[in-house]
Amino acid sequence: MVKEKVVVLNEHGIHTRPATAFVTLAGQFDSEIFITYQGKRVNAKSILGLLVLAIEPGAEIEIETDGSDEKEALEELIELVNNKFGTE
Amino acid sequence: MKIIKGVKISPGIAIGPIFHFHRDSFQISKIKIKKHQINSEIFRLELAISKSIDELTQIRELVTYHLDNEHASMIDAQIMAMKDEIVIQSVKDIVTKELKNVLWAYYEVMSGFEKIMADASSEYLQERDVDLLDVKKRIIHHLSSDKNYSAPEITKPSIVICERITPSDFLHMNKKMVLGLITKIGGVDSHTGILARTLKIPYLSNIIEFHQLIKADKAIIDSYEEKVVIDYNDDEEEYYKKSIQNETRIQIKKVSATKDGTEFKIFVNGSFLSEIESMNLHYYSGVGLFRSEFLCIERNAIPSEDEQYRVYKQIVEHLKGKSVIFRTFDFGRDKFITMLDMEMFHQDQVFEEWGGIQFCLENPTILKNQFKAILRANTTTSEVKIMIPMVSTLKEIRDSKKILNEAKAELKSEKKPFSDKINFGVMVETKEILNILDEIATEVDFFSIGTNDLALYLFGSKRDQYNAKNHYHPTMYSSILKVIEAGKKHNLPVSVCGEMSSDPYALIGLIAIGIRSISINSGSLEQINSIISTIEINKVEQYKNKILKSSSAFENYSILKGIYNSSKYLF
Repeated sequence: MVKEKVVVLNEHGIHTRPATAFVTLAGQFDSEIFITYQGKRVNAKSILGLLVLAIEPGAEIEIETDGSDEKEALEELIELVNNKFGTE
Repeated sequence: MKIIKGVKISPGIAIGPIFHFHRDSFQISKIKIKKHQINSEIFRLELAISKSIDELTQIRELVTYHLDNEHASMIDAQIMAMKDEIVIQSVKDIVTKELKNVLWAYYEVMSGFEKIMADASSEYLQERDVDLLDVKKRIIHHLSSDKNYSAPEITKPSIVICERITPSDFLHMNKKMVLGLITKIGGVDSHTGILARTLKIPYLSNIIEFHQLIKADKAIIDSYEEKVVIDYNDDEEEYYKKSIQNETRIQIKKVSATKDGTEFKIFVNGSFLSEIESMNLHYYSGVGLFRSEFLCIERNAIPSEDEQYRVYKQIVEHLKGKSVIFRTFDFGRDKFITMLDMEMFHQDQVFEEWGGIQFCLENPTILKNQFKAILRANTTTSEVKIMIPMVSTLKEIRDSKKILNEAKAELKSEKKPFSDKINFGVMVETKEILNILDEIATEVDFFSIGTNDLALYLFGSKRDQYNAKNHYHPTMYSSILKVIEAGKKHNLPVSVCGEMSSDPYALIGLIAIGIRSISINSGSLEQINSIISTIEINKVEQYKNKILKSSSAFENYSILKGIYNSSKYLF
């Protein structure tokens, strides 16, 4: 299992479009993927789980990946967050 | 006269009877199930999800064509919510562990999520609540009814009023019957709002005195003044009727040539009979692409020869002598229907392989019946053409033509009238076909380039992650140039359908390399017309080599954007 903290940079936090992008990417990995925010930990392959977190702009989240491709998964997901989910 | 205030979402004035739209609500009862029912309950959930995703896939297609990929991504979020692991697992848990019926379980789980989201304060959270509501309603519908989740039939042109409306409900309404739209709740940025603007339907929302409207039987929407008028007299009605007449005087011109007089043909793409009938075909040279598979998606079944014939005939009649290209059923990839073997759905890779003409060739009766229906719709005064999708080999063309001949022979022996003078063309949208253009040129009457799939084939990205930047890629242009050159050599017409021709920058690139005929989505007409009528071919053609030889999509994007911006002042 690997994990890393990252700051959400995009203007509106993780709303529908970034969440869709995140879940799409997460779904491509075999590893289990979780996001922790404000003490709540959710399955990041679930768009509803992610939206329920209501992650605001500037928030620090922790991405955790666990499985055969955990390193790659973590790297690519962190990159997605850093690139503002490719939406801005 | 009584005036009710609202917020303008889409401009315009409309007068007409009120149609009150509301969805059937289903009773959600909590039922204890027996252990042996668990599997069938879970299967019902899977089926409901699969049907719902099919419907949304169809809607996504509509949104992509009417709007753009960005808006279609909102539908992706809905599809994703339907497939959501947590939701499905939670529902299954309730069914298997608590032995509750799946309808109740699903309702509970989704309502839980809705509540959490409704409690959240920021604006975007409340906005997405609408999406979830549609997801829940759609699944519940399919768990409760065998019917399609479609909008009720509006029988006369009306002003549609409802508490709120999802884009999918709005899309399913017969647009000819929707004079205007009034909703209690709705936003300027909502999809319905964007669609209403695209379709030029006046729309007013956020009506506080909504209850007053429900009592009225007719209304006037004046969204310029942000008001709804009810209880009006004849004089008042007359005043607004005049306003509507004034409004319709400002119209788009038909464009058939560039600024320097070069002939340029603009065709339109269509997927539904009602859509074609609602278009003013005056602006177009004809229908450049009719996506016939939507007939199946609408019905969830493959329509019979007669059923198809009736639709095709009505389209041909509406066109009054203008040409129409019927593309044969193009299943696979993102379009599939529930009536096809359910097993197939779970094997994505299978779809890639049996999409397009391959599917039809493996099911020759389906193809033959479709050919028969198209042939029958063709008369001596019409110009009907057949086009086959996703072709990659010469054999596929020969096999299809063989079936076409069989269809003709059958019609003759059945003594059904038809005109056998019919053009037969191919959609150029695979990598393989680019290498056999000369060989197939003698077998076909025209080439139509499907840029959406061609981009997928060339760049290998998945459709969902489809990147509009591919439109600008030099490889796209050099591939299309191959088709243009083959067309010239063999004297075959070449046209471009697909989103590339509706994209202003990409279109300039297409014109630069020699495209003189396109088929677009009706929503893009105004913008495309303004480009065509201001463009000077000889100026744009100077960029041909630059575009072909550029190093990347990004570089081309800059070049094309530059031409577009400078042309606004220069041409």
